[in-house]
Amino acid sequence: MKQKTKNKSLFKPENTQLVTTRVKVLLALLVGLVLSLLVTYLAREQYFGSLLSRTETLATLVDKERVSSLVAGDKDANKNERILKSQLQEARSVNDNARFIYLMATSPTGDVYFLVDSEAPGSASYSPRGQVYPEATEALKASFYTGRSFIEGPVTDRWGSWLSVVSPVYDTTGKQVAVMGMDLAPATYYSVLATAAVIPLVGALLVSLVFVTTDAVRRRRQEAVRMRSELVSIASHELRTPLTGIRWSEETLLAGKLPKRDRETMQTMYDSTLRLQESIEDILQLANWQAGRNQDLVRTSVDIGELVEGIYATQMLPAAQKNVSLTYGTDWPWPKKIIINCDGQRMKRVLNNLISNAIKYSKPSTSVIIDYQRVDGHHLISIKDHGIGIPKSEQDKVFAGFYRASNAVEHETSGTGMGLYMSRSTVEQHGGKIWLTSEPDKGTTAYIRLP
Amino acid sequence: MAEKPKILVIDDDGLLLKSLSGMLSTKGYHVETASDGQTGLSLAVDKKPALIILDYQMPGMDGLELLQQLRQNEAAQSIEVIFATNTYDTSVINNALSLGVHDYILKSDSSLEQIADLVNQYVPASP
Repeated sequence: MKQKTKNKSLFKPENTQLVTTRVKVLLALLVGLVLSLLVTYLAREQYFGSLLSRTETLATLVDKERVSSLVAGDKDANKNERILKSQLQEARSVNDNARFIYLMATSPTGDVYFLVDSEAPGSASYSPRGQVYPEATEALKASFYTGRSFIEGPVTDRWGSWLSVVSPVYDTTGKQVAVMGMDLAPATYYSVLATAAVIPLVGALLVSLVFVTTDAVRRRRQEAVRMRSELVSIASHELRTPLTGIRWSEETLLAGKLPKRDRETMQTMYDSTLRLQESIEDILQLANWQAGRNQDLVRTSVDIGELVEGIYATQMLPAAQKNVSLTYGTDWPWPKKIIINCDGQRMKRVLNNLISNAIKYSKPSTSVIIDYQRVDGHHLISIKDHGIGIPKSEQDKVFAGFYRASNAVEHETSGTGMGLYMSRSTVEQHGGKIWLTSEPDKGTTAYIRLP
Repeated sequence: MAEKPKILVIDDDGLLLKSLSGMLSTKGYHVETASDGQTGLSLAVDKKPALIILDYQMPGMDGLELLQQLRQNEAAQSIEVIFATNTYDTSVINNALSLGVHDYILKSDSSLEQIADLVNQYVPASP
């Protein structure tokens, strides 16, 4: 009963699952965002590439001599303008979503002016030859000297918002004399970008949704388990408290003066109380196990020595009553710091079960030996008693559940026959193995091997 | 004759309180009892017992809350406390240990005689 004061926690609360879900969702969104940016960038490059090649083709196909004639403003300029205009209009009609197509030149003062456009003379968007385009950007002005095609925009001028694609036009000597421009309404550009951006984001959102839903389902299941455990815990308290009161009162009466017959009655009552208490502990243990058995293991680094010491302390009373001594194997004290990665609460129940069994079925004035060894990288815990043993034919059945060995029933009236079944289930959940060797009338040794 | 050492027992269950205090009286202690946390706390401050046996699960102020308040009270913070529970819940026990209880007992696992031995280790009964 005496417990050593330990300030450090045997079992640390685990909240990693929740964190993982958050991290997963964040990661999914991050990957979605990065993918979205990447795909958007690629889609933009591809769209721009196709626009540039279209304008460049137009710039190459345009009649160079006629353009030179317009730039020079020679006698054929008016005729060439009409021919070029009709060609530009045709080009516009075959390039869907192209709004304007035009040729521009630059003056020695740096002004950019129209040579010809695809608009009918007299329409609102028509620009006559020689009309200066005051909204020309620096990039447009520079393009007369760089000889490179480029795209700018969406830019806004007096006619609206445009994506402008510009390519150089050369004369027959290979000198750049003008630029070919094509203005497009930016709607297509925007929709290309939006489509590219949205698809990975929607994917990421769906994946996040799956993560969150899974988390919610798991949490609801945990909540159900928690409520059931709480119920068991309340029931435990309500059963144990009055029973302990009765037992202590009986102890008080037995310690005092009593007439012989009353003493006999009181002793019988006391024995019954102990048996009742044992049965209640068995049933509570079963209820506890059932409440928690579908729960994931809460694995932490558990100091097995401390765990056994705690159990050892709670088993002193039943052991003392039968004059059974509990010893820690040959290696006493236990090798320092035997750390096993396991669910401490549940492993404690297993060990408690095996140790209390060993005491329960021990012959009076014998010893129960708890031992630990490291075998082939595994932890091997053994609990050896000098008790009634288990008949050979029944040694497998005791692990099957709701089964008590025939000699155990004769020996002790209480017991649910579930202890070893629960222990096996827990040990196997840990990826370990539980078994026993036994000889009737000599004793039993139970083994637990854990990875 | 030396004055009997004073022990305060706090437990909401009448029978537990009666049997525990009765046993401690026969062992030669002066026993004060309280059946709820609030009364227990004020008795602890007023009577300054040498040792408190403190139940965990009580309606209203439970054992851990009482312990917390006790440790904040200058007059009572150094009183030795044995924590008495009915639960094997390690987190409760660890909590109590971190609040500075000197020992703990699992009531359903202990006989009165064992509790008497434990109390005697902390506060020897007057002969």
